[in-house]
Amino acid sequence: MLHTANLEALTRTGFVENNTKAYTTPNHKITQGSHRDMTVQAANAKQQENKEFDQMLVERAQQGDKRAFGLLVEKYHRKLGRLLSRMIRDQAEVEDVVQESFIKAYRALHSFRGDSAFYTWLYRIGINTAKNYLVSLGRKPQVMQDVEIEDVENFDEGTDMRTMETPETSLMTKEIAQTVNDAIAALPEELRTAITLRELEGLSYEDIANVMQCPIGTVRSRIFRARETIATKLRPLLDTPQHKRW
Amino acid sequence: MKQQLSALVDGEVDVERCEHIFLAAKSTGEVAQAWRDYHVIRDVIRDDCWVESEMTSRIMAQLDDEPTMLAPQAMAAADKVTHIRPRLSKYSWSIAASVAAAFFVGMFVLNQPEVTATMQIADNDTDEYVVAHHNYAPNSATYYMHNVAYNAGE
Repeated sequence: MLHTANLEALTRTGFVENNTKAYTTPNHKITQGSHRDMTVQAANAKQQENKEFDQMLVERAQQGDKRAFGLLVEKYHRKLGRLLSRMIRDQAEVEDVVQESFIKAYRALHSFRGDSAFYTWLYRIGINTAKNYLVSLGRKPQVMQDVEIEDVENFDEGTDMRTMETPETSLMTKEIAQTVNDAIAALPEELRTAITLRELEGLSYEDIANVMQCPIGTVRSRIFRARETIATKLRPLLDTPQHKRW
Repeated sequence: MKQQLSALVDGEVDVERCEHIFLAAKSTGEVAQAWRDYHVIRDVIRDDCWVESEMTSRIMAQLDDEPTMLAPQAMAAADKVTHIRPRLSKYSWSIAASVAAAFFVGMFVLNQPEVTATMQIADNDTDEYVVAHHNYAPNSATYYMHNVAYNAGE
């Protein structure tokens, strides 16, 4: 499921639709069918996204490089937290379980052979850790049935999972989300289209180049410039003491 | 560098060529900061933002207390270094084999009967041998063959 709530919001504001139309030509008309084909490819592309680099980071961590594992933590802790927040209501408890999950993952990393994607393996550990945590408290997880191991394979950002946030974190989340969305809205059209097709639709650079009818190198540059522009607006929020980098 | 990192985040860079990006990303510089920023942006755009308080730093602080891991894969990599020993052993065996061969050849030579004795036997037997086998000679040259002691004139 690639059409997230955020995608719908962006579509409503014209990000996706307008830009797709803007780059539609007679020779490259994006029909509903071709768009569906691309989204299927995009789903596959997202599944493969960085799997190789993740494996490289895992191997480095297995050789004793804790910083390599830190890059994986930076990359996946938000996704894992969001997944586990479906099982555990309290934000502080979710954070504890996320932390414990990563430590367990690190301790078990020697057994990771790369048969599955790292994030699938990590999510399994996270779910089991959450279940054990709730059982240890004598609690019956209210939504445990909804999150089973099998769901991990199909877990996608677009799935309707709502984080249980405290007022503070909710405010912070909204502030960050608003900043990013405002920054995207203010981007030049070609940058906005490139980053949207990449992050929301999950298209490869080659597909984006076909849609936008430009070289792949241009796509690479546009996506980079879009990210840097957004990051410039985002850093004041992220570089607070609460978000200082390890 | 950051543009390459951006492409790497999208899986659009050959992993075998990203060692320098990896080294920069795990440092504390702006490339490392970009690693965080690009993933936060992605998570927000994909409606996957989950705000934590110092989560990464908390985990990394706890990892500092964990013993450094050396998984089997890493051990295998380390074994590649120790494989130098067998290579040295091969040379050692070659040298040892050469020495042993030289020893046996030397022993064989030293245990041979003295040369003078061998020649005496040859001197004594040659006449009888030539006479007994002259019929098998291709011509009559053997009739003219005489056994002459090399020291006959002394």
